[in-house]
Amino acid sequence: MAQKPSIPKGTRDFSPVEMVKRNYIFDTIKEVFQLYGFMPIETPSMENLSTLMGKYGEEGDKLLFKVLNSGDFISKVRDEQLQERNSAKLTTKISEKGLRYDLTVPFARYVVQHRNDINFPFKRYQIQPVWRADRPQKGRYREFYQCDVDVIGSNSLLNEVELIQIVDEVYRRLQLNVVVKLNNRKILAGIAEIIGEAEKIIDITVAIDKLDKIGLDNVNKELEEKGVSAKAIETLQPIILLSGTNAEKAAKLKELLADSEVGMKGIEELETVFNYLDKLDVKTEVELDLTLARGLNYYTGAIFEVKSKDMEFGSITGGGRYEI
Amino acid sequence: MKDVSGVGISFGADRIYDVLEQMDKFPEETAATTKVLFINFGEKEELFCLPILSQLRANGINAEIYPASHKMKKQMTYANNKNIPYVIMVGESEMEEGVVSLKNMETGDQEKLTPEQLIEKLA
Repeated sequence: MAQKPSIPKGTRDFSPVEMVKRNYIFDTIKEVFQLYGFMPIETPSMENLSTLMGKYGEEGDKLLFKVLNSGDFISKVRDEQLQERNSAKLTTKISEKGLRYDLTVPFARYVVQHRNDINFPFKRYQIQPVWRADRPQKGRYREFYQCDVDVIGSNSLLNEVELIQIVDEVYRRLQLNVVVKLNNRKILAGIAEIIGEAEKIIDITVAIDKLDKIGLDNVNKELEEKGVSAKAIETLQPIILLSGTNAEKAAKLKELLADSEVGMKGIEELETVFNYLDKLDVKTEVELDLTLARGLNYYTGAIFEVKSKDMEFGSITGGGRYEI
Repeated sequence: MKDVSGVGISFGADRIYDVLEQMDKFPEETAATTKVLFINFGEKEELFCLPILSQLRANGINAEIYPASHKMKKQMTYANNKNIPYVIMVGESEMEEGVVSLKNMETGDQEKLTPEQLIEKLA
């Protein structure tokens, strides 16, 4: 070999030793998924760009790996389009396909495309690699696996409960101590409603999340800097300081959100899930966490996140309820 | 599709890997996929070993034979690097008695076993 062999930045080779360990994780997860009646599907590495574009925001579009059209693709492009030097516009002329960026969008495409053949409620799991043209960093790769489990076509909160049971079972088998953080988009919408700052809900949750680190005064200062009105900050105080057991938090929220229909609906959903969990043998701690706002624009009900209790670490599992 | 609701979660395999690694929670056995290696001493020994190797595999025991009768040291190094917990050695006396010598790579203990005893021990 003339040149030192290498692989693209942000991709990885896995040795046999590493693969045995990776498969231990995948196999454990798969076994538990199947225990709960989920079946596997796979979708192609490439999707049509029309399926992928616009689903991940403007930034996401830039992070899609695009596949050049086959053949002499440039000969069909007009001179002025080349002269323009506009990458986004030129891309539509020379590329029709892209590598999948996550498993959710291809899955939504799958459900719509095969809706007449699918047995609803559709319980599927999918373990496949995804690709993102991110700048590679420590712990961030351009090719990595996702392990998704979803139920489509059922509004029942029993699905939320079973997903928490799956989390409980997977991490019990892997012998990891975790905590499940649970929130509900409707509660956040209710909070936004009663303080009249709907568009600042993300700023608000980010600020509340810092309470332990920076203290109440600094949280309030940050809210003020973000343009939240003094009156709204005043109304938010009991929400920021919400503490106690899940039942105590829910009871307090009911008082605070009494005037918000959507907020009350969110609390009711949360209480239903907690009531189920009380009756089941779920050992994992499940905690109501109002600061949980991952992918807020996307979720419509429950929002989940799982954190390791042994290590300071970002989330190791996450998800929620959405509309497709 | 109108009014179709879904709910799901995604497990972060890479992060779970890092936590398991740091907490030292990967099970020991996952490091070694082959349970036993037949050391290869030559053609005659090979013919004696191959049916026993097939029997082990038929009983679900991960087993392999070193593909050529290279130096003993080279074959043992291969077993060590692959974290194989047992090796089997077969010479003249074993073939006469119809047994194999099973060596525990960790303790160094060695014992003679019939194919049946071997399967019972490794299964």
